[in-house]
Amino acid sequence: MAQHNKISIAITGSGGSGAVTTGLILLEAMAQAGFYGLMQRSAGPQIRGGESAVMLRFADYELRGPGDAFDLWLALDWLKVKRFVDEIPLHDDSQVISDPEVGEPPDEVSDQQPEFLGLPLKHTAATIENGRVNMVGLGVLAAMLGLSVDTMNKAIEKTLSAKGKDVISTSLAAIEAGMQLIPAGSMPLTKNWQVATGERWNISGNEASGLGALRGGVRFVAAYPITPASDMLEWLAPNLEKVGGALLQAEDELASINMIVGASFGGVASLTATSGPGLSLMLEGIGLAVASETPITVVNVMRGGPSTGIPTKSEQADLNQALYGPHGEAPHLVLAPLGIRDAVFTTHWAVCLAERLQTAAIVLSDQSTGQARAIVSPVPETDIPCKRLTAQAIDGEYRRYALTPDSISPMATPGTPQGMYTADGLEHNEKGTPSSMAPDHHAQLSKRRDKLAQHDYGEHWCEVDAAGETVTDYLLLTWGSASNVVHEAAERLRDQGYGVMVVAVRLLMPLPVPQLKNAASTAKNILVIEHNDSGQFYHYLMSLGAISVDAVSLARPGPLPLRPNEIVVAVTGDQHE
Amino acid sequence: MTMPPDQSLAEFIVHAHALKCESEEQMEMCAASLRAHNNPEAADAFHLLSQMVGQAIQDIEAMATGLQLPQVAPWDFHWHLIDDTTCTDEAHYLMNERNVLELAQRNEQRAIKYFQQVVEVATDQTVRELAKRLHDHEQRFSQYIEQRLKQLEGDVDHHADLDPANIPE
Amino acid sequence: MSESDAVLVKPKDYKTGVKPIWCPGCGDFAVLSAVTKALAWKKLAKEETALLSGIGCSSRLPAYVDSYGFHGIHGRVLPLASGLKVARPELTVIAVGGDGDGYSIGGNHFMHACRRNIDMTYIVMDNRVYGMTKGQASPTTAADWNKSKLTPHGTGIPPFQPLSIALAAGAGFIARGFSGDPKQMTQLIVEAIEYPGFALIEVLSPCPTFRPEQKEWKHQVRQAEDIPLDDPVQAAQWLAADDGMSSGLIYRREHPVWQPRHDLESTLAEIEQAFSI
Repeated sequence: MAQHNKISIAITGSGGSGAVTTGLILLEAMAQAGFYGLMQRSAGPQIRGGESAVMLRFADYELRGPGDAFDLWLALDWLKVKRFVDEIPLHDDSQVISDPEVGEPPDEVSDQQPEFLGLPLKHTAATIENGRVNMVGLGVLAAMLGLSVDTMNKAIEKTLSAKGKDVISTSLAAIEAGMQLIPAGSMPLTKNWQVATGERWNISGNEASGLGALRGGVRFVAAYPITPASDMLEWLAPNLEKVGGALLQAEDELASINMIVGASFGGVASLTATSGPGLSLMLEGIGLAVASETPITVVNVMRGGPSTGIPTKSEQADLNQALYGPHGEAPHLVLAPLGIRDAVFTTHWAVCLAERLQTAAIVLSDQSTGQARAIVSPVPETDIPCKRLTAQAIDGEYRRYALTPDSISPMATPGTPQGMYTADGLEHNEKGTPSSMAPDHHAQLSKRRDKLAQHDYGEHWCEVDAAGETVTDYLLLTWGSASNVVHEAAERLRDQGYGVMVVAVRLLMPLPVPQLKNAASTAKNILVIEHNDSGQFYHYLMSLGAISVDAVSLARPGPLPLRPNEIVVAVTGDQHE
Repeated sequence: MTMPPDQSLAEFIVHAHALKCESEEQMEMCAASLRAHNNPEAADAFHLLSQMVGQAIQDIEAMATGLQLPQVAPWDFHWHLIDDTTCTDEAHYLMNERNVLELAQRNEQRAIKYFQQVVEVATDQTVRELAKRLHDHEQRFSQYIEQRLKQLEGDVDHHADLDPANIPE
Repeated sequence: MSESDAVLVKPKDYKTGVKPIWCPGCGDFAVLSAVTKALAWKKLAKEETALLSGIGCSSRLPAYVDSYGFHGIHGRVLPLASGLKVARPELTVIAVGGDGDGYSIGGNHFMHACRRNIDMTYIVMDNRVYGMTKGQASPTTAADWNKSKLTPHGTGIPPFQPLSIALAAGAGFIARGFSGDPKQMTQLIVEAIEYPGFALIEVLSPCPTFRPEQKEWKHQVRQAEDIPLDDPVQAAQWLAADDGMSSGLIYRREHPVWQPRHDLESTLAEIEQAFSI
């Protein structure tokens, strides 16, 4: 494997200092320069003027998750930075850039003994008309990373195009002035990095889910704004319109879930996006979709819970609700994207499965995926069978919920002559007429269960990273976004001589238990890794008998992200006991 | 709306047809509803009545053959009424045959009155003749109901409801 | 006048064979009859028509009409119908339900459907009681009605005023019908279907089981005169002065109908291109 070069950079600031914009431009500039990157963000609760932090990581390979500590920290000011200190761990060689004029760093930062690089950011900005401190700081970072003025120019033009020519030229002047603060001839931090030549994308997890939805044929979305899902909706609103679809902003989540059920009843693939509190409100509607066999997809961008919880931070804590939330016995699909890039495929696949199996699919994305951006290789269009089985020429009496060999019945959409029926959330017979008879209930329960259980989900249910290992000392079993750090931990463990396999589960329900058991059969130890407090995935696996009682749960709640080293320590610590 | 004296035969046929169709629909609904509520006695009575009305409808349709019939909006018929043709709102799940026939008799009296009015005001001879025929038909029907009611004189209401209402959903 | 198929269009052709579970004497039978008459008069293709409902006695209605139907969950008929109409604008969409379904558990959707003004008809069969759950007070029940064990002293709450609230929320078609006046109700339904936007018909529909006293409604309801109004201030005054027993189309005014815009157009490939570095 080629040598992997990477660097982690944090940018913090408050009160309109522009930390987020700085991060976005740097991400784009590093992409222009031929590198890969990841940008996660964290914000205070204020709507304007709050403190915010962006956590960037760049590499000359397609990285997936955050590292352990930050190499560089650009602090535009130190106001309320304590809120972020835990999220920006430093190491012995970390450099912290700030302007002495904004004051001393708090103890929490200086106690970590990084190297402080004091630069006259404010003064430099003042030399340029309308010059901004964040752009000067960006220039400093650009010079340290070895980015050219030309690259910065391209990145600025792309990122700030909507702000007008003046802003662009002023920003560029400030960046160039910032670059001058680093002595010429300093060794660029990216000196030996490989430069990618192929096409790459700059995409957020929420945009990736939106794109997956469009690829899956979604043409109607109804939703109620909620952090951290709203930016998926904001991306979808114009883009759905472009392909002839529509987005309706609903009065609440009870409305949005029922709106998409109505639209899908009309034959149009439909989706909503929400976060934990919204998902709670949608559960009854999800049950309706299951009982009436109306395909829908719900993207749940998880945040810290319970209740209102921590809206701006990530946690994988809604698994139980997604699995068991709807009342009665309502077989449905639960999927989770394995990172930002995978959100395209997983959401696309979820929509297609919902359409083909005529049920509800819940996609468990999260804040660390949805609100993060990454530079990734393009996601090729995957050929996933997506077509709903519809009733065409109907002869004689139409039975909407007919019992068929694969338990999927042709669905008549309004407009189809002779296909008139009344969809129902009441238990019903094959015709759809309400029935409380035991044979009807049992037949329809089995039908809804079997169509999911009998479906061949193929190889996509998980991503296996065995790196050619034949002996597996450790199986690292994980799901969704947690997999991003697990892959990196696995690499490090292999470097230390461990035989490690990663199974990252994308399809959580129905879980292909025999395949999972098969993958686990060669492992001496199993570690189940997830970003929540109670080990929801671990308990789910145990309840299904998918893992042995010796398996160990590594579950840690948010708001701090999982880090690769925690997993490494969990393994090596065990080993040394 | 008042009844125009100058209605044509076709116009009158449409009215008579609608009146009887309405009556048939109401009785069918009541029959189905009472059957659903496990009252076969009343259901059968309504069903029998609805079949008899069905006969009258067929007769009227036969008269309409070859005529150019006007379209009359459901709200433009010449009877003005709250409830002239409805019986569903008077039904009760414990009603007996006698209650059914009493309800039907009230309907008959209204129909007789309607046809009688047409006989009195219509200027068209053929309309008057047909209205008279239908009037007489209703009259005979009404007499039949009256006879049957006499046979059932002993039946008493059993509306006293010992079962509490059910909770299906 | 003059086409010869008048007799041939039979409302009962729009009925399914499913037998209503409604109590004999229920006002909802007349609403079912009026709906089928309206569909027959409009000669609407069955497959191009959809009736949707929530939960409650009256919400059983879609199963009895031979069109596409959806018997959804309690209180959510308006979102269900809105989603369908936006996705399939060419369909005739009719939402039906009761007073509890529409004004209590679905109250928020009611207000927002009025102001969103998606082109559909909403028929509320108001019997001022929860029939299906055994006779509890509904939002339109009088404050002193004490026949429910759940509220032995009455609700003590002034009843919900659906028509005034609809007006305030921006509805442009506000009517009151009565199950005892099927001719008028049929006309209201036809006019509601033809109205471009959200059309509300509140139907006084007696419950013979839990509110037998509503049999008296036929002596109390009267067709209102000098309506429809098209001025919202006059309509508000009219509604405030009304005793709730006047029937007819009370207010009609056309507002912009909400429908998705399609000003932008591009291919999926072009959308994906925007992600490219």
